[in-house]
Amino acid sequence: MSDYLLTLITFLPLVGSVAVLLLPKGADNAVRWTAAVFTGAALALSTWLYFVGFDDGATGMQFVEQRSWIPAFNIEYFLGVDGISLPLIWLSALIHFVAVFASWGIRKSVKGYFALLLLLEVGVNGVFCALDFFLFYVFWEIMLLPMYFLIGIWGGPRREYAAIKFFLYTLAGSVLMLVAMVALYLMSGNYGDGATFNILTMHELAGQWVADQGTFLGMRFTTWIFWFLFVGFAVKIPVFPFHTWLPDAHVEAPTPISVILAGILLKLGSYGMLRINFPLAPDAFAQAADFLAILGTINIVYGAYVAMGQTDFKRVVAYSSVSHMGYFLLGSAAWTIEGINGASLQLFTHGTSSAMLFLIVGVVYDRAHHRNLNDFGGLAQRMPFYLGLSTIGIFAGLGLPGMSGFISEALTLLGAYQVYPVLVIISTLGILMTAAFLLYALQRVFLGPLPEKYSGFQDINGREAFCMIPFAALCILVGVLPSLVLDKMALAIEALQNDLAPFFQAVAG
Amino acid sequence: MPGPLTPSDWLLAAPLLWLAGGVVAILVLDAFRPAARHEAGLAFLALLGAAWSLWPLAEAAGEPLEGIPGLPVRAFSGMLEASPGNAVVGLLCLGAAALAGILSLRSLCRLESGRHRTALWTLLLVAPAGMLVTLASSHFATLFLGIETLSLPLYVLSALRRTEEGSVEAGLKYFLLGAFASGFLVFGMALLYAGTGRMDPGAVTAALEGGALARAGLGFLYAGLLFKLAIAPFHLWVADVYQGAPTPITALMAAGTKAAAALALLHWAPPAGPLGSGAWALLACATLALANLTALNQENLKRILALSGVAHAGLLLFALAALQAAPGSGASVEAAVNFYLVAYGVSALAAFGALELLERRAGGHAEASALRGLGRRFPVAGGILALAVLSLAGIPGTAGFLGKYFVFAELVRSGEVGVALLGILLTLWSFAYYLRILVVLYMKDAAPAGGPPAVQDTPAAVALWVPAVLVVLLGVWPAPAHLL
Repeated sequence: MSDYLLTLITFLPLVGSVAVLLLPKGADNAVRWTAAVFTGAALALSTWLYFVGFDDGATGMQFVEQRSWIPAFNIEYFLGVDGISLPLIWLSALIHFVAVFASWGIRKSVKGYFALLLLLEVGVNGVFCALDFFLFYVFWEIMLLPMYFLIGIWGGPRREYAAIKFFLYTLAGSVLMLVAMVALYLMSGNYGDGATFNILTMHELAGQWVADQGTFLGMRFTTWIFWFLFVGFAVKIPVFPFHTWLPDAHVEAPTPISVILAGILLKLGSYGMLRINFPLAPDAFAQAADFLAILGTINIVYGAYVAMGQTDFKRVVAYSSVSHMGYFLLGSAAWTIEGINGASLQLFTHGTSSAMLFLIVGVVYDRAHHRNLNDFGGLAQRMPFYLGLSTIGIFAGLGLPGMSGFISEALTLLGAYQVYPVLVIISTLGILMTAAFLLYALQRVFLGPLPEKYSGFQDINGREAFCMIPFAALCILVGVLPSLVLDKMALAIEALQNDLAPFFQAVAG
Repeated sequence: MPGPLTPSDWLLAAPLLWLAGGVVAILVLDAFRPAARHEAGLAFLALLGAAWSLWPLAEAAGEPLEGIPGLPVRAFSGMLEASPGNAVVGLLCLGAAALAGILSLRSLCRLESGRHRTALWTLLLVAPAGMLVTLASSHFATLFLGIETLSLPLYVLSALRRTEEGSVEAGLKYFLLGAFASGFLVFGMALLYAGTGRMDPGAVTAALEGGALARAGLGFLYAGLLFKLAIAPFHLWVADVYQGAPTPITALMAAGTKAAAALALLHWAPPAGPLGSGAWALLACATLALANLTALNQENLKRILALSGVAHAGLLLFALAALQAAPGSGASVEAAVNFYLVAYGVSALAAFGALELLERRAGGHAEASALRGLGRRFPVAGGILALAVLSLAGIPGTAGFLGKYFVFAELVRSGEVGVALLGILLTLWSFAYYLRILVVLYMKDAAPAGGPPAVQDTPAAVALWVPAVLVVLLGVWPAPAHLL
């Protein structure tokens, strides 16, 4: 089985998607359980992969599958997993599994909804597993469509606007990626055994094309490759100033889709940077690092600052995502071992805490049918269990020591301080503001007198608790035992850091 | 002196003989035992026979066929010339005619109690015969014959709903402008012959080195061809004709005519050199830009799809630009064009076919307001239309994406990175109106059902799966089709 493990993890949801479409009309519960079984199977397989199959002590790719796909362009079906992608694959499987249960209350076109949700998982898992750039791109785009429909059909009042904005932003980014991809393919033809889309081969060739690169439209080859790819991925993270689609998409998307969006889709851009953008244009990355660090700091501070001013609970959480993703950029721009470890861990911890926060918003929205923070209050009296879970999510989000967010942010800032002390000091402002707006939101929802109209609210039910508890557990577990994730990543990150470090020394020297 | 027919002659003549035989059989049978079933049966038999006789060539990847010297096959003293890839495009044309026929079974066939049945079935065989000749033409005579043979049936078929203004307008407009284009074409041929003394594609090379007379002839020749392919500034008829014509016929025009005209243009393209790639790239960009600009404002889905067809034709010119910029790339450019035509063809067939089914549910209207929310009410037809639109837009996982990718890859390979970038941006722009179709189908609340309930059309609903499956299949497994 392990020969096809990654294929199974990627394409089991596709089988589920087809199965869902084949079920008769009106069999809504059968549809839901089918989706749960297939996402559950993918989760079980990736859990096995994470804890049993994956060898922490081995360098390089594991569970590799490599077959020819489109021979005319030397395009391969090439999958593999290393320490950088492993936690994200598992996180993706978990989040999609939980999202199925969080979607239990969807009433509109149930079949279509779950078919698209499963298709989305195919795209996301595929991106994390693909080691052929062309394949990566195909999965990247496949993911775009289900998301567009899930927001556009099942979203809130301004769903069309939000869906099209999301689509066009991401697409504009991926077109740049496409051009860079073709250019890299042709460039790789000048070296070794002919042109290839193999990301690992390109990684090895990168040193050569840095050494003897030509120019295009007055810019060095790697410089424009870097910026094309960077914009393509930055839209997805999203990096300031490409972030404006995110709050709209989040506000209009149904709760489970927000969970997926914040929990895993935002990680794709950062993963793409670590896997493709930085290693394939290393000299341009080293030269741009200062600028990226500044962008990261802007994300942290600006995101938190804007979040403070929001009254829509979901917008608060959405902007907090913008702020949190800034740590990734700051940590990786510093390119120290601690920085990259922190940045990568941040992807995982933010995935759990933001998913949790969106579930928290979903619970009040389902009951009150609005998200206006100023209109809540006193819910602690009626919903004590919900208060407990929310507190875990919010404290994990603001990085309280002992929670997962603390470890990743502390590591990131520690790593970045060695290179950018001033930016780190500025970005601590962001931490302060994050604490402020999250606690302020907590206070406005739970404390104070309970308005009469909310006195009938029930505490969260078993299904809602079932969705939130895994994330709550992860927030605490990774906070106490970060080695659960860090050990998996250590070797891959060290190798990557070593490969690119000379380019940073060249810039510094 | 013409000798006996060689195996090569037979190979390329066989599909035409099948189609012609079908026409004769239908007309003869109609005189004695007029019945809808017989005519349709004979027409499908003839199309099937033509496809069957074309199949050996389409399958002959790399290996020469028995008794035939080398590929591409040259027949009738070089008047026809076809590669296996061309044969695949020929199969597409036959398939388009077959699908148009199936879609007509429950609609066009029954117009005015079936008075036009015979005309429909015979013309549906003549048009693909013309396409097959056009796409294999390598002599002025075959080029002109082919183009006229494919155009005349389409003029009539467009106007088949003769009680509807739009349909009559479409037929008349197509006919008048088409007659102009034919005039240009034949005048260009005359000047080229006068200037160079040749009637084969070599005339183009000779004309580029020759005098003003021959060069003017070349200009007229291309004007005629670009009209059929609907390249700006000769694209203005497309939206009206595609909208007015009955949708099954529109599907045939979109997939078949375009493919035939494009391959003819590729056969008659000038060799690399004096004309350069700039002219083609400019035409391509202008066509894309104009088509996009016009499509943004349309309310009728048929018009949007028609303009999308114009944009796709424009994109094909990028392949010609690549050919000009990198002379040695003939084989790979031709492969890219063949694949592109097949990818566009199946997507357009799926799109127009599904639109026809939805239109019937909306009382015969293709306006955005009439089709609101129908994708959710009719998941299969709506899903196929959505899939086809995604393929036309070029989303990975569909044939349309790989078609565009292969063309742009040729362009980048030929060194025209800037042009490729511009082309990709223009393609990106087109997403605006493709998305609009999806919004109309899925994100608007359904319009109240209007008009009489549509007839259940099982054959059409089943046949539509063929192009839909091909859209996905060619999108994930292009190797067999692309290597031709």
